Amino acid sequence: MVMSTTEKALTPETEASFYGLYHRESPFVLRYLFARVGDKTTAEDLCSDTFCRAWDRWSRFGGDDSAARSWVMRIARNRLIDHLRHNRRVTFEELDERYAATGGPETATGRIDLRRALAGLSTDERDLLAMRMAGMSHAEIGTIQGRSEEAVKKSWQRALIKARSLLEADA
Amino acid sequence: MNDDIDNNEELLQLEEQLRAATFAGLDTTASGRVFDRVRDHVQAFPKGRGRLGHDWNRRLLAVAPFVVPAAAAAAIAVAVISNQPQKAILPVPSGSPAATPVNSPSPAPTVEPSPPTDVAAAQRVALGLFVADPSLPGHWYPCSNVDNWAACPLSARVKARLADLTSSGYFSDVGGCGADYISGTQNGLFNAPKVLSAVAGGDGSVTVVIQRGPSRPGLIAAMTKENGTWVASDLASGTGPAASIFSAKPNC
Repeated sequence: MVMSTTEKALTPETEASFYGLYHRESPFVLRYLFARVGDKTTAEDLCSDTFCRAWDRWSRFGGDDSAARSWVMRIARNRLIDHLRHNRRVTFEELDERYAATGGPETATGRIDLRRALAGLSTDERDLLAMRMAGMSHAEIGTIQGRSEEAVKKSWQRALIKARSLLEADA
Repeated sequence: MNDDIDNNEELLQLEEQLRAATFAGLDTTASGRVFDRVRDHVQAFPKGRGRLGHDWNRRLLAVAPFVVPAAAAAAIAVAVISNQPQKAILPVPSGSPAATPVNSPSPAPTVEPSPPTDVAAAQRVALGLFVADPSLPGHWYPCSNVDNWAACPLSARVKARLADLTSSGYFSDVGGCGADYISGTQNGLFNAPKVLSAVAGGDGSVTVVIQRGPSRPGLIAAMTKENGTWVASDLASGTGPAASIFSAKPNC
């Protein structure tokens, strides 16, 4: 756990460290949120919400840079859950519509149908893959989800195998 | 099924395809409005917002009898880590009236117009901390390695600090850092360094944050004018009390 029991003295340096956190972690947070909601404007709104919430708690954060990533991603994830509860819509499908309009990405194994590959996954599996797409390691995801690295790897493996099966079934 | 998850090339390849499909054609860098909104929030709630949403402490407004624009907030930060005198961190925005801090609403503050800060110039000079490698397109290296930073846009104090750290072996593997300070790596950068933000401070300085790649924290340069020339009077990396290069054991 990375929250300290006492608040740090709030100095301008506190702000400096927070802006450092923002510049270092916002690309990861944004990629994760975009992978989940499929719309950059919404992802950016959620991203700014995340860092506003992080600032509200920053004086009580007592971890190092590594812990900070897990901490802010946890805030992002909670903010995303709130958003999805309100909107009742998980929009990987929107991604697929967008790519369908542009012809979609071609890969060595053929076009990836995101809708079929991802819509058939559970919310937890989508969440895990979104964090991986954002660039997070299995260990970092484990810290966020409160699971071991090995457990995350196994879930990741199952999710990808499931996605592959869905793609193959569609082929 | 390959049980070696880390080396399961097939799954890693599929994951990479999903990643490419998800982000294809999109700039996944947060736009300026994200940072603007966060900065405005920091400015509006200097001590964070409580559970009930109220502001606990209008610290900055208590110090200075004028409204502090959001744009000054980032500049406060590096000014402090650079060990500048306390008065230097008062967030007086460029182009706004300077004021003598008082705790009562009267007498009226003394108003002295200050010249506008050339943020674009400071930003341009800060990017000069990195030099394109003429022999390898798409590769940048710090402006330092061969001449003890003589040609770099750095203050004499920063150059001396870099020299001290170098001579003590701080940037070697033995010293614990194992990387060039400016680039954060011994291998140079394979993406063009990019300015993430450039914010003018009230003392004429400009705080510039330069992206050094996905795995490194941004390099923060506090740009000030010395004899009419922009130089970095402080550099910082990462967060916390060791962010500044002038801290006892600065972040790499």
